[in-house]
Amino acid sequence: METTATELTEVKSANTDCEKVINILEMIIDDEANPEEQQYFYNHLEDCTSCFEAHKHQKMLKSFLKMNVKSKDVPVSLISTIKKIVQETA
Amino acid sequence: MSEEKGNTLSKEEKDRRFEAELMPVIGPLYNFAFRLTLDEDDANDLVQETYLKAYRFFDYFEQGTNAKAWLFRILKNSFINDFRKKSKQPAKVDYNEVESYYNTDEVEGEGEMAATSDMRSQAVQELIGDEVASALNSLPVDFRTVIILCDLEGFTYEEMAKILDIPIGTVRSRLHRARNFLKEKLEKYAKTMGYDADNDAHDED
Repeated sequence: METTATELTEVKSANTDCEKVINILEMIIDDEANPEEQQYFYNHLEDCTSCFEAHKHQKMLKSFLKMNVKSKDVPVSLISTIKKIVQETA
Repeated sequence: MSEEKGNTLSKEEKDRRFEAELMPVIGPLYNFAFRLTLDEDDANDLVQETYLKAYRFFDYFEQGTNAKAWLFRILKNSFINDFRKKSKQPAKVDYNEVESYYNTDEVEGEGEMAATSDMRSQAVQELIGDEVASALNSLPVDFRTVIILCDLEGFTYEEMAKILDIPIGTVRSRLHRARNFLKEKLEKYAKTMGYDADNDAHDED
């Protein structure tokens, strides 16, 4: 009885850890987590494969977007139009 | 009469500052406008309107503060007030154009794989870019917006909250949902393309 209870508590606490980690995952990726959160996060990653993978994928998505969404050139006429309008505005 | 406010600038000085502080942001601003409206002419109008408003309210802009966030906020408000009603929904996706482009290249490349492999990988690169842009553009505009601001423009949550007039908690949850949406779309696309991130070895010899 007692061992089962202990095991259950351990499993439960591992899950809460993962939950917490997943909860701050995007803040970590976006560089919005504070130092304590970061430490907690990376400590957990050291011995949790699934959270490690989740972190890897989330990070990949962000850099994939940045790499692959090309930016459009601003039409030259737009810049000159704005300057002209501004100059003519009293 | 000429010094009603004490720190009122001469027009010359105002124009000079306006150009120096706000014009450098025009690139990101135009791209934001284009990703919101999905139309080059609308993006043009929106950016023009944004700069006009910024000029009118330039006295309220504190020099040296975040010009980019300030302009993005004006643009987003203009978009909601004037453009959203008439912007075309749902987003158009140019799959046909992408496909025919790809097919043409494929035909030309046959028989001289080695010589054209650079061109081919460039074509594939462009194709990926188009597909990712399509996936992004197909998101509801609120989701698209947070992805652009965070992942493409690198705004902080706090800046995003100010630009969008929503609490930081809402920024976070919206970003989370937007990313889930996008992941789903990109996974579908990765499968149709036969693109497998774990297997990028070249089989040709």
